[in-house]
Amino acid sequence: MRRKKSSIVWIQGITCNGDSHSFYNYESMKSFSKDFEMLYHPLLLLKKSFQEIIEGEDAFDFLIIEGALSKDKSIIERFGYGMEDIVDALSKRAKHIICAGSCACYGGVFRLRDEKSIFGLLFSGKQKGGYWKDSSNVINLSGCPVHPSWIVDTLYALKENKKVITDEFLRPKEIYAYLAHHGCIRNEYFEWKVDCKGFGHKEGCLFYEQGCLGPMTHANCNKILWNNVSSKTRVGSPCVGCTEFDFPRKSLYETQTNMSLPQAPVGISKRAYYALAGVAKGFKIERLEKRLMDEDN
Amino acid sequence: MKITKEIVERIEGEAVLELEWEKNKINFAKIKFFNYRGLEQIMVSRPLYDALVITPRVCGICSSAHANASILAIEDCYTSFGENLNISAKAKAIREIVLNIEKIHNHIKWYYFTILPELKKIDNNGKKTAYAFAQKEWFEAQKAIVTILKAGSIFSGQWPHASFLMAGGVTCDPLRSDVTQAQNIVDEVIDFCEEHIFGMSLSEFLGIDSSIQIMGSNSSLSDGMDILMRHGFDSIGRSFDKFIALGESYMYDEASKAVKTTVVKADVKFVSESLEHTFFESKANGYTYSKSAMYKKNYFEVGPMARLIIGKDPLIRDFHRRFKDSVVTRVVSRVAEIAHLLNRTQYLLRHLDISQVSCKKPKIHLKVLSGEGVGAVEGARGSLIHRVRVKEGIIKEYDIITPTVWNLGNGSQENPSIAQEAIIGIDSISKADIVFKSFDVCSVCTTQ
Amino acid sequence: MDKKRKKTENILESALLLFAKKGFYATTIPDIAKYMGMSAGNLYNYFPSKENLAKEVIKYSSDILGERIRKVNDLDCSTKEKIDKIVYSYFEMATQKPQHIDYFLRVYLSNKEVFKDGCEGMLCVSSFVTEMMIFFEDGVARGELRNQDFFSAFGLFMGYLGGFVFLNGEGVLQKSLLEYADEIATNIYYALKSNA
Repeated sequence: MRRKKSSIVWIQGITCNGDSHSFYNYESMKSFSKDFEMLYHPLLLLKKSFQEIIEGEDAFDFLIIEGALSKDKSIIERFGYGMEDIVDALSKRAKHIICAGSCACYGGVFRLRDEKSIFGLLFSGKQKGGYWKDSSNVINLSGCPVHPSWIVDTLYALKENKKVITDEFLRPKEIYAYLAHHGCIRNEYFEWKVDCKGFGHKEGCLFYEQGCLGPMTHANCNKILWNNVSSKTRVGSPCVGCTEFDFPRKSLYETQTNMSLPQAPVGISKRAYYALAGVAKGFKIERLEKRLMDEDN
Repeated sequence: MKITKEIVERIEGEAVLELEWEKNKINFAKIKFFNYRGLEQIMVSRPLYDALVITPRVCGICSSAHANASILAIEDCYTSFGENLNISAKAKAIREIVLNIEKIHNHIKWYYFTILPELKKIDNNGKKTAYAFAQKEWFEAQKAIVTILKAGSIFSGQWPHASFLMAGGVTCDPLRSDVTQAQNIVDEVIDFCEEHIFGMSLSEFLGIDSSIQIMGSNSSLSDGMDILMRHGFDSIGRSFDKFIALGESYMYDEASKAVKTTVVKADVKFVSESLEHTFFESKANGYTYSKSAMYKKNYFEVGPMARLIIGKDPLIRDFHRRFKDSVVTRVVSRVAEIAHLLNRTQYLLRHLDISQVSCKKPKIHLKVLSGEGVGAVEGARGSLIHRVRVKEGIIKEYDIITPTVWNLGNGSQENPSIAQEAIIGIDSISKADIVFKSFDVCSVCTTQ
Repeated sequence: MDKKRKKTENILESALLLFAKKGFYATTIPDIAKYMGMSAGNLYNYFPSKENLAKEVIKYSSDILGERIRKVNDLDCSTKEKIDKIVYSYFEMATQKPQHIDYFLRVYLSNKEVFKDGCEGMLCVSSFVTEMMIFFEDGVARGELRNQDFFSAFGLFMGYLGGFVFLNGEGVLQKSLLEYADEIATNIYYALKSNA
């Protein structure tokens, strides 16, 4: 027996639509649609038009916000309405609000244009207080883009009145307690401090030279994978830290070091990390120095 | 003279059409895009390679096209500085595979998410019928999209916003098993397309050269065509019959333009961007954030129709002979391109030599790289151009010309743009809306 | 501290002294045992071989020096002041307990064959090197030191200090080691400081 469907209204601020397109990559959409009804989404012809949604008075279950927000109508408007007429009006009718993607969470890449007038819903970068000062029914799902499962899993948890434990940025711990580093198939190279010699190799860790932010980025990318098949580090590209408040940092393909010492992984003291790294680096592990598939051996 | 303002929705955002009417026909249309985002400025003073992460964020639906244009512009900087980066055939093929897959996904998505529901609505006297999240056909199309993007992600790590490109090649180094998986996934999508879109096998579809063969098939393409023909879209939406394709494609030898069906060589250096009617030119008199792209001061249409006309595709030539550059030809071109792209992608996967090097590191250190570079690719919606000026590895200027800027610019009454010309003379808003959407407009790309 | 650990530490101290004075090969286990007033057999209960003892000595010494630098790292003061304190602390150790520096220079660095198994890379001097890493990283992070390769900076700092202790040992210096501390610290600071 299926329960009553929960209703969703999806709106956009300053965006590239990437979170929407990522959402439409959800593999079990038909099953999802048995439990949820999308009343309005900007990219699809659905039950309600924008006008009908904004002029209506009915309550609905979920308001999903994609994109950064601004009160300045010259920066962002939708169909002639400023964000205040959209976000503030619709949020009063929603049971839960979900910020989908780093732009809605912190302001994201578009905030860099004007940090004084472009915000995330509840955060402005790291700072608490964004477009709104605070609100009690908001869940942040950061990422550029957000992973479709993060949205769907959170919607189900809230629909079923499960307690969603969140971190300091209001992100569900079930997703963001993990690091992008977890599950990376280059982990052994990280352990033994064997760096990737340039790009385009199966071998080596991307943390020392290529700027990988996997060990300091909260997300379960390498656990659940993207498009159910891969991830940046699996195709030899560094994690760019897209779930964090400071995305995009400068110099994304170059490890930022002080005296050639990289930043320590999140929550690990420099002393512990440098001691371990210094020791590991002292050993030359022949197997790890070689190509994974060596024709001579 | 009557002036109305119409909002066009579901075009990866929205646009406002300000229509001037005369004798119940559209006399002129101003196309307005708001919500400027300023990504070109955000990149200034960042290291050059940051563009590989930031430019995909221009657009959630064509992020890989932006990444590709960006890497070509970056590599062109090396060329202009004296180092010709020798990209391996393998890396080139992987770049094309990922780009093709993004286009296949785009065209399927556009057909089932955007245009078909609108056509069904028009055919139902303007009344909506539940389609997306409701009908089996829509769920199957969505599944095909998920599936094809999975094949691309084997090489690009993820979609959207993939990072897999680097100066000198690609970052991935696939295994034989990765390629096999991709081949089988693409094959599944071919099955979907044969059953639902083409109504015949892929090889049959690629062999047909007459519009009548499509109309006779049992497929959602012929369903859509049927509606288009019944509502007169075989003669509506014609523009100047001028086409351009500046990015590389296996379908033609070199960057080219066509007037009607006469194809001649074109060069990206003759492309200019007009700020006319934009807020950039005048805060007071401007009315849009969308610039207009021109080739030697002339408007040209970009996209699948342009590519297939330039590539002398027999089927689209037949459509063109009968229906000129109308909505019907534009829509069929976009869908027909799916077949070409699937075929080409399977070919590339079959012939991928994984033993070649993935990425050759440039000899010139990024910290000394100075110069200018241009990259042009054929994205889903047409020619996409990135231009960058770099000094000692730092971006000084970045300019992006998107396909929608080619098709949806704003000219004047005397010299209208491609989409303006296509809309002028139409007698209803709902038809103008379809004409507009037939270009597969991307609002976000327009106001990068 | 339990009795066994105390005894172990005494052995390490004695071995450090003898090895530093006479060299690794000229010092035997019976020599060390005799110096301690214990039997060689009993000493073997603590350390299975002379090589093993030598490795434990370098770790022990590195821990002591590392602990001194750690205290400086934990201070809330400028990088210049930290350099002053590290140089002073190093020369103080070289003056009061010269065996530590002598052991490092004359035994550890001069008899690599003894240490090649078990003391690879920085394994046995990790506690000291780690503190230097933290010192350098912090200095750059605060904008006080120029960002460069760790080993170029580390070599300049430690090579300079080691060289000076060596000159001191050769008896060619006019003044006492500690009297040079200020000037040397200033030189190191000028060599490493940020240009900004």
